[in-house]
Amino acid sequence: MENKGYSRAKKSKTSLKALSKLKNISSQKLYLAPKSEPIRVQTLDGKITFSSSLQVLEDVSFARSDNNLDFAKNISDQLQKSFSQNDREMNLSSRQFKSHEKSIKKFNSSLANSNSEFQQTITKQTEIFSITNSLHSIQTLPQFLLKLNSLKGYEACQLLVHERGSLNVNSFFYGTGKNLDFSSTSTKKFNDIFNLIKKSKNRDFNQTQILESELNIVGTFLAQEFNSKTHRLVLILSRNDFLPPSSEDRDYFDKLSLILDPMLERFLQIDLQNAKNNHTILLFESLPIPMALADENQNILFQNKLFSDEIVNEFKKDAGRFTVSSLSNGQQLICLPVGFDKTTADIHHHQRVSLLGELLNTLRHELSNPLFGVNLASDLLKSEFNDEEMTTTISHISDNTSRCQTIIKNFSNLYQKDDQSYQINLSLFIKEVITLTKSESRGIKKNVLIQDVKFLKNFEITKNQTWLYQILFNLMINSAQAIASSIQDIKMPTIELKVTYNKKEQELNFTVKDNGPGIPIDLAPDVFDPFFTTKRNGTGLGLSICRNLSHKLGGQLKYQNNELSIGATFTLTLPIDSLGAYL
Amino acid sequence: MNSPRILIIEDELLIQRSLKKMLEKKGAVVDAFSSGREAIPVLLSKDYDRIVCDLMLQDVTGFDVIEEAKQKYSLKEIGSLFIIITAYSSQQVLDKAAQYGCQVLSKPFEDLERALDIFLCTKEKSEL
Repeated sequence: MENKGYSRAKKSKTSLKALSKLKNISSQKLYLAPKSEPIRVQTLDGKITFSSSLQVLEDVSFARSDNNLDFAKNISDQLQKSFSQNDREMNLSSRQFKSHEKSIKKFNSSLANSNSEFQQTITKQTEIFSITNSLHSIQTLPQFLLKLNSLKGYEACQLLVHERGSLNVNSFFYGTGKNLDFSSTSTKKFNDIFNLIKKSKNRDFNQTQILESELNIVGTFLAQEFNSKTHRLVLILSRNDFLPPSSEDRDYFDKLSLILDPMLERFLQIDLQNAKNNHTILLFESLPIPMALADENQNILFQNKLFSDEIVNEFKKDAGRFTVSSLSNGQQLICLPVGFDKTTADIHHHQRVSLLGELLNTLRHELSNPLFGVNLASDLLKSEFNDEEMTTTISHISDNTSRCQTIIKNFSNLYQKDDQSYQINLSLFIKEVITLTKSESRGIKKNVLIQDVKFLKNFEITKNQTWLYQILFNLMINSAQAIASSIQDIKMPTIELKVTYNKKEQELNFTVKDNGPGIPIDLAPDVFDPFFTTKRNGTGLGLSICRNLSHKLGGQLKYQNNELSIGATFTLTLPIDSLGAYL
Repeated sequence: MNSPRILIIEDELLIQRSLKKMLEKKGAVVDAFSSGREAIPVLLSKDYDRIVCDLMLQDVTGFDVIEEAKQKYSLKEIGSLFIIITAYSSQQVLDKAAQYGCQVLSKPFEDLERALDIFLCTKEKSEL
């Protein structure tokens, strides 16, 4: 990947930074490489340029913009430009083709009039003309030629195709009774063959002249080179024997070549066009932005990888939220509304978590010093006083500061960075979670059930504590808020946190069950959707993040309303491995 | 035994005063400063049995104070003389302190009495 073609991308490091802001692209070298064709992404003058290693493809460039709509419009412009350009080229080549056709007709009629000996040739010409209608691609040309009556006795046909600028030469070989054989060869060897054929005066060829393994033919052969703006080709026909071809065959072959020339050109243009289209689609697919193409009735015709089925559903529900820009052919390019997609939500969330972690770390250090001072001072004062009431009060001060210190310490422990692992006993961990939800769950009874206590008591969590903590913390807070928001009076507001161990599946189950109002049945399918919320100040991210995190841990998060009583139950199932727990 | 002479450099006043009082109660003679710059000339001119120094001072760091103390003490003396107290006991800090041979106590102290003993030189480093 480090060849000279990419040097421009490397030079513009700073602009690449701008690109990386576009989405979660962290690397400065950006190579989108779907399948075998590497696509180069580079930025120049604030424009992001995608290009491929296929030299025939012009670079398609997109202007970067903070606004998705601008970005989409820019892409649509570029796509149109690239498509219409291709159309022009196509028209051009078919015009060329038509003029060739005319000249051949002229040639044929003059031939027919001038010499009756050529009667046979004329029937052959008719057959040649049928080619223009029945041959459809360059790959099948060898096969097609060998089936022609006029070329009876010919057993092998090979077509070598070199796209100018490309390092490889494609070879299509067909021998009677064989399958089409596709291979590729080097440009150097192709050049040798091409020049040999081009410079030959008597046009007599045999195998001994070209002892190249790239040619699959045996003995003498007919050969013709073709030269076009974009390609060079060599066509070879052989009987696989050592008799020189008859002059009749030679004549026929020359005319055939004359006719084939514009056809080949046209086929190659079509191939190029297809390659271009495929590439444009590939680019579209691998764009780091979710995008889709729809017809005028907003039926989605094509969606790229990031435009997931979930987003499609969302689009069907409420297309108005999406950013739509119309193309000139009536089709529409669809982008997500700003802040919609999950990746963004995820990024925001992670930013928040890491910010929170840093914040907590700072808080811990900045608060622990003064708290320690208070602690020391109260210890000192305690020893100064004999008055019992006074010493008790001072003890309270001391106890409270100790508690503050513990809470701060717990918080920053729970928000450890991923690479900082620490070990914590499961029941202790649950205790910490409960402690930290205290303020939100005031007045609510909390039952902690750790089933199979003997067994689970010894469980040590060695990794992913932060994620587990976030999930459980969120579920607890949700339950507490649901209970608090209930219109009806709940007699004994209770949240139950239960941990069970499934030995057979090697899984841990955490259930958070409350006797709050539960979730209305019609809203239940949406609770895990990002930005779905029933709270006035909710972000709608809590449960969506919980589910994401549990998936990342290889587990599941499920919801059901309680069967026998009111309230909701969330069940988190995690493989033991994900927590690194051991006995 | 003479009463131990202790210098405390700590900018959190509550900590500084409390430690001073506690150590004095235990019979030590204590000087205390909030600023590293003010403490440096004093530690160069007066002899102490123990220097307890906070790492994150308002003006300079505890390591800066130790660097200044090199004018007067050998590296070996510094190692046994200085105790660093800090709320930021990262591995980096511990490594650097180890270069000087200094002991580091994290704030808050896990065991106050033990910390006071260390400051009073009643426990030697080898016992820690």
